[in-house]
Amino acid sequence: MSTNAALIAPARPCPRNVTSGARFETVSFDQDYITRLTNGEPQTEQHFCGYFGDLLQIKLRARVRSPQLIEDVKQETLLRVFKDLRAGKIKHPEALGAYVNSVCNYVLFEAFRADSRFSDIGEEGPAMIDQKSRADEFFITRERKDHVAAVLKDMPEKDRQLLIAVFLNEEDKDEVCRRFNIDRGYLRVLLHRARLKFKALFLEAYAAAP
Amino acid sequence: MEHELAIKSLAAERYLLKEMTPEERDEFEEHYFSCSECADAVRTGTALTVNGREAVKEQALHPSRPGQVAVIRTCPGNSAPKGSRSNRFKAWTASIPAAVAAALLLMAGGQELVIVRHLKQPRSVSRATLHAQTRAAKSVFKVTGPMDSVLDLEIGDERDLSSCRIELVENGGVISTVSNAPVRDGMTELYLPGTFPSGDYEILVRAQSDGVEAGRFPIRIER
Repeated sequence: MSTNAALIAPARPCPRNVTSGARFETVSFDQDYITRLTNGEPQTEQHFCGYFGDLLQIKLRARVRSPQLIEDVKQETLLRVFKDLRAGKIKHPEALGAYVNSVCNYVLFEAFRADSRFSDIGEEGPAMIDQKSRADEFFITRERKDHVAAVLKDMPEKDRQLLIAVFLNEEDKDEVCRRFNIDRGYLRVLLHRARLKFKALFLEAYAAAP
Repeated sequence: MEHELAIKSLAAERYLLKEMTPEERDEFEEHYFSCSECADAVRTGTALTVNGREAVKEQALHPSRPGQVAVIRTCPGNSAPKGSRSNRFKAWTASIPAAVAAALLLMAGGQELVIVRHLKQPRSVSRATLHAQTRAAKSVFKVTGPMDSVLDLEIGDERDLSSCRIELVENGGVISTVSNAPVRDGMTELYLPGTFPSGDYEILVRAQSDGVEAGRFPIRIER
């Protein structure tokens, strides 16, 4: 699928496993951003690959088993968007995200059609934890792990056990809800609170960095 | 999907919990690719869960590190568990630290039988078989020294369980849990890191299907 990728690559191909870094920033895409991207401005290209690389990885890991296929689809998606940018096909900067998502859907469709070895996995599908772990390596850093430990430490005992059971040990959610005598809504709120705390720790660490 | 609706319905959390239908998932993805706030929520949530999983794995090896939570793991040994591929893999990964343990664990105490078995490969693995205790007649199994240990928990085969949940209880509270641990011939296995802190614990084995207690194993760890 991506054997001819070099033909349509940007001046500097997106480095593999680039993430948008420790800081979870918000972004807005305007005409200036599109222009810089189209002109191959290195920092903007790197930001684009990091920001959308993360989102594509998250989207694809829910659908694809193979880390290699995830990487291929991601790279192919970014390359096609670069190609379309240079061809002037993206007229509305605010639609850049939706455009990337659409291209990814199309590339994924092509990949599934081209090779029946790869198939969609749903909730009931076989879980390839080893493969999934490799795909998740993308997001793992020492700093993030320490922040998670800090989040867990500050939680009430019951919430900590819940978070570990559902999100970290990946136990059956219904069974965990029964055991802790809670409903699914509580799980959502718990994750929401943990996520906010996790982000706050990041922002604190980022602000404190020299 | 409208942003207001995404926020109100905790769409990012539902997405991460895999509670969405495929149609909802597609809609939300379309939204968060264009919405930096929701994209940020999904990214931080993913980073939290993915890094958390790794942190928990590390804690299994170093539970005494400040701010970390003690975690136990099952260990499959050479048996062929009946569980799913994911469970088998989880159990396999859990056995790695035991496989590289440098020397035998020193074990002593009130347990009547200590067996070292399954040593088909040149590796140093300590194993001990623990028999389920009744509430009335408790025999506490003592684990001493700093080494890792693998405990075979004999829960009997009256209920013909294929999987179980193992809880580590301290002072009446569950401090760590392993779900979907495979059971074979009335036995399940547990990996206990050598760094697990000293104390009196109880290993509680429950049927995975209905949570009914299948075995209880008091242990005392002295490092």
